This record gives sequence, structure tokens and C-alpha cells, in this order.
Amino acid sequence: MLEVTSQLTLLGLTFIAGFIGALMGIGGGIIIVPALTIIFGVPIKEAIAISIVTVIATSISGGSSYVEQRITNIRLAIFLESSTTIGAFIGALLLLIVSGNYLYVIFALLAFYLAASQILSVKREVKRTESNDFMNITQDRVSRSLNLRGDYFDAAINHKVEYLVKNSLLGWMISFFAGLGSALLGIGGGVFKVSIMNIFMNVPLKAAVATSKFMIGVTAATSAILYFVAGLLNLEYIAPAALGTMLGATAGTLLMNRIKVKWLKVFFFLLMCYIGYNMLGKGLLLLSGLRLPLI
Amino acid sequence: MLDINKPIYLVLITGVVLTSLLFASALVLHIIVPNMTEVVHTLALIGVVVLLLTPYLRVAVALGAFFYNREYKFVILSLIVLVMMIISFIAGLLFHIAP
Repeated sequence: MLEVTSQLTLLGLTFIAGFIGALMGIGGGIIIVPALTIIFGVPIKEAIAISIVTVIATSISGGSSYVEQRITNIRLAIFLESSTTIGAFIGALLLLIVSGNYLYVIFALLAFYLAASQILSVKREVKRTESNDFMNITQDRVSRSLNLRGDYFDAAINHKVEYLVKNSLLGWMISFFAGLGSALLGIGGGVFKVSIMNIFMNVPLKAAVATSKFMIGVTAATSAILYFVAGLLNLEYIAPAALGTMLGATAGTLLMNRIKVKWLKVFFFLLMCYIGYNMLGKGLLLLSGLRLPLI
Repeated sequence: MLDINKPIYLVLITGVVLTSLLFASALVLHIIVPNMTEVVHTLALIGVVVLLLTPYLRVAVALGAFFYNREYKFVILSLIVLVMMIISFIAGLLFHIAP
């Protein structure tokens, strides 16, 4: 059985992962998997299994808190989940025939594109949030027919922000590919979900973060069950890891809405750059043997 | 019209409270009483099962709530999500996908 100090260390590390995950609407696997493999020497497959279970933990605890704060757009979440789950299923089947290696480069480019879009749209988003300008667009037919709109109270600027969703079909398609990619590459896809909603679909960043947090549990639950059934879930680590992420996520959700949207955008830019660089590194290594310096 | 946020919040918060109680007692038990590995593992195991089922239940409850509100387009969308979750799970078992 794991030492008490190790359990507490794991609790602390996953708390941080849960906290950051809640601020950005992501699962936190990007922190938990390296922490488990490097610090605790857990084999990679077991680390991924634990990480996926913690994604559910952070999604339901962070998700419930955002639903309570009324930031989550549940209708939009279900609309996008319908394509992500189909994409994830097809991705898992494709994995039997092809390898996802070439996809790393494509997703790296997408990550860099989204990083650039995030940093370039800081001023505009701040201005639109402050002047409640997210209603000034034309909804597409699907968005109108499904009544995809929402509002939330922004605690950083003390007023209500309303928005209409646009490009819903484009968002649905990209969400399909995000699901496909997450099945093929094992990336959680939270960062892509947030950016799709924010950059393409006219959803304010905070609403996108809350909605993504809510969504990620659905695909994670399916893969987690498979790891569980395959006996890869190491019960020694689960209790501290899940508890840590849940506490961290709850703390993160209490802070997120108070942060100025400008800073959240900057965090996203940095995160997308990091993810893009790592995926490019993996892709180049697998395709051409070229090794990028690690960061 | 039923406020869709309420039943979904209820499912999520129940999942959160149940699992955190289970995991916390596993952790505390492990710290206070060593050599109770089996009990600790059983508690963690039940916690994992509750955790894994919560997202399924969340989609099912959304489906029911949309049905109650007669928002049939969203009933269909929720049904797609639920069916895909179940199919993925079954296909994963049959083809030994993922792990």
C-alpha cells in the first residue's frame, strides 16, 4: 500500500491539476499523467487510466459548481456532445486500423492557430464582454431552431453577459474532429472544446470554460469504464487523486468568474502554445525521427 | 417549464458528495488504521463505480427533463449522446479498444 506521505503528495498535486483544470475548462491530464509517471513511477497506461478517472471527478465537481453559478450552457453542451461522442467512437474504431501519428502535426497546427486567435482576440473580447456585445450577430438556422443562446453574470465586471451562438454547424463538425482526435491521440480535448466555442461560435470565454468542464466527463466516462474493465485502474492511487482533483476543481470554480477575462485569454494562449509545441514534437519524432528540445 | 439546470445539478452534486465521502473515508482509514487494505480498496472501488456512472445518469436525466419540457429536438440529441456512450462501451469491450 502507498505510503501516507505519498498519498498526501498525490492529493496536493491533483489539487493543483483540478484547480487549473477548473479555471480553464480542461481535464488536467496534462499535469496528472507526467506527475504520476515521473514522480511516482506509475506505468504510462495506469497513469492514463487514473488521469481519465480524475477527468470525470473534475468534470462533475467543477461542472456542478458552474451549473449552480449558472455559467454553463447545458443546451449547447448537449448539442456539441452529440458530435464529440460520435467522433470519439469512430476514432476508437479507426485506432484498430490506422495509427494516429500523423494527426499530431495536424492538431499541433490547430493548437498554434487557436493560440494565435486567443491572443489576438484579447482586446475585442474584453470590449465585447464589458459592453455586452455578444448579442450583435446573426444566428444561423440551426442555432435559431435549437435556441442556442445563453447568459451569465460576470463577477469580474459585475454585470450580466448575454450571447447568441453562431456557426453552430461548423462548431458541431470541429467538435466531431476533436472527439476523433481525443480517441486517437488520448488528449482530453478540453482545450479544443473551449476554443471552438469561444473562437468560432461566439460564446464568451467564461461560458465556454464552464460548458467544456461540464462536457468532458461524458467521453471520459466511456473510456474510463474500458480501462476499469481491463483491470488497469490502480486503486491505490484513485482515492487521493480523485479527491484532490475534486477539491481543486471546486476551489477553481469559485475563483474563475472573478478573474478578468483578459488574464484567462493569456493563460489560454500559453497553454495552447505548450500543447502545440508538445504535439509537434511528438509528431515530428514519430514521422521523421526529428527530436525537438523538451520544455 | 422545468428548469433544466435543477435536475442536472442534483445528479452532479449527489455524485460529488457520494464519491468524495467514499474517497475521503478510504484515505482517512488508510492513514489512521494501517493493514486495512481490503476495506480501503473496497471503498475506493465503490467510489469509482459511482463516479463512472454519474455522467451516464446526467445524460439520462437531461433526456428525461427535455422530454418533460417537450423539447423533442433535445430529447433526440441527448438520446444520441446516451446511445453513443453505450455503443462505445460495448464496442470497446468487443474489440478490446483503448487499453
